[in-house]
Amino acid sequence: MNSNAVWQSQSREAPRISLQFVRRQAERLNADIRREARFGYFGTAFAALLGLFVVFAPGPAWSSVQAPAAIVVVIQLTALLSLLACGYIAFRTRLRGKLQLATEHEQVLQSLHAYRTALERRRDHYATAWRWSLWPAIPAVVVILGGTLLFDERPHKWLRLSLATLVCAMAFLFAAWFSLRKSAGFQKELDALKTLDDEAP
Amino acid sequence: MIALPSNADLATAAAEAAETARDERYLEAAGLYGAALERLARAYEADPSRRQDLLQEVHVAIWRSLLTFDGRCSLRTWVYRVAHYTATKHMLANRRVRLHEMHTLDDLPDIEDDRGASGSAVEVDSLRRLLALIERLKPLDRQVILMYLEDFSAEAIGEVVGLSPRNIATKIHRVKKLLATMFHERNGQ
Repeated sequence: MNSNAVWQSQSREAPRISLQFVRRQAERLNADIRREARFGYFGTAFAALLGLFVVFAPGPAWSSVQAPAAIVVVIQLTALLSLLACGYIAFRTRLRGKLQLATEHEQVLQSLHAYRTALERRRDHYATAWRWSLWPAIPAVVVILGGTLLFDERPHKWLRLSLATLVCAMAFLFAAWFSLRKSAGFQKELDALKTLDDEAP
Repeated sequence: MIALPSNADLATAAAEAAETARDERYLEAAGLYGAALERLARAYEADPSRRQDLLQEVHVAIWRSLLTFDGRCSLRTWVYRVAHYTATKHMLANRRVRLHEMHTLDDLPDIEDDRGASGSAVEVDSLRRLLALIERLKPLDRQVILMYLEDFSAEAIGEVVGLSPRNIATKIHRVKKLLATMFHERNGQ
């Protein structure tokens, strides 16, 4: 008996997959990606509008805020710096997305090797992402904390300052933890892959 | 006066032509290799419902990839690369799969032969044992044995897998030996 003949004589069990079905499935995948992107853009646009309002709101809008003029300036400066930080992070993220698209063709050609490279790229991205995405936010944090320390003369200043510091520290720690956890996840997958290619070139 | 098409019109026409070419290539690939892809899915996924998902994933991946197909390799090589890549990714994403429990062709424990059985029962049993053998192999060796079973030449297997012809020859030698034990074939058949 011939092994190849036995293998190739298997009866087909799956229904025929039509071109329309394939297109619909691919489109559904694209729709998911587009939905995620739209959500991200909407969030960024909302934050930008809010930031722009804080920075450029005319005097009357600020007159209802019970805070010294110096604090208003501190808040405006913080909003401006946060906007710049968001812009920078959005730019880096978009650049990364483009790089991933560019390597899709390469992935097809190099099969598992490319999959490993893609995993390594993602692992390295997340291993460093917490650094490059956090430092743009530092000026805004320094301004808001320093400004509050120097110019805020309302009661419970130290309580507010402590809370703000705690929130900032927690946000930084969470971002770093999340990023490093993702990186460790990719490393785990790479370790599993290592067992595949004892004889790979 | 004849209006010349704008750059945007030309770009749209080019995109539409590329889409049509992709659809044509996909239909050709599905027609030629549809059955082989189904067998490939069977070798990578034992669970029938997940197998159907995998097969759909493979078809979608092939259709998507064909937009960048430039003819530098044959359509068959391209289709198998994408299919194996997608199936391996599917396998790695499956938490039930334990890679460290899989074997290479060289460290695979001895397999039983089919002496004693006869007729169509042999065929069914042989297929079942063949699938069991394939399921125990690591993805790289799984690709080699699957393509060998689909009558790929050593060069063609090397082209898909990305191993040197020497490595492939060694692996094929081992595959033939394993299958000969299982099917009582003569080496080289």
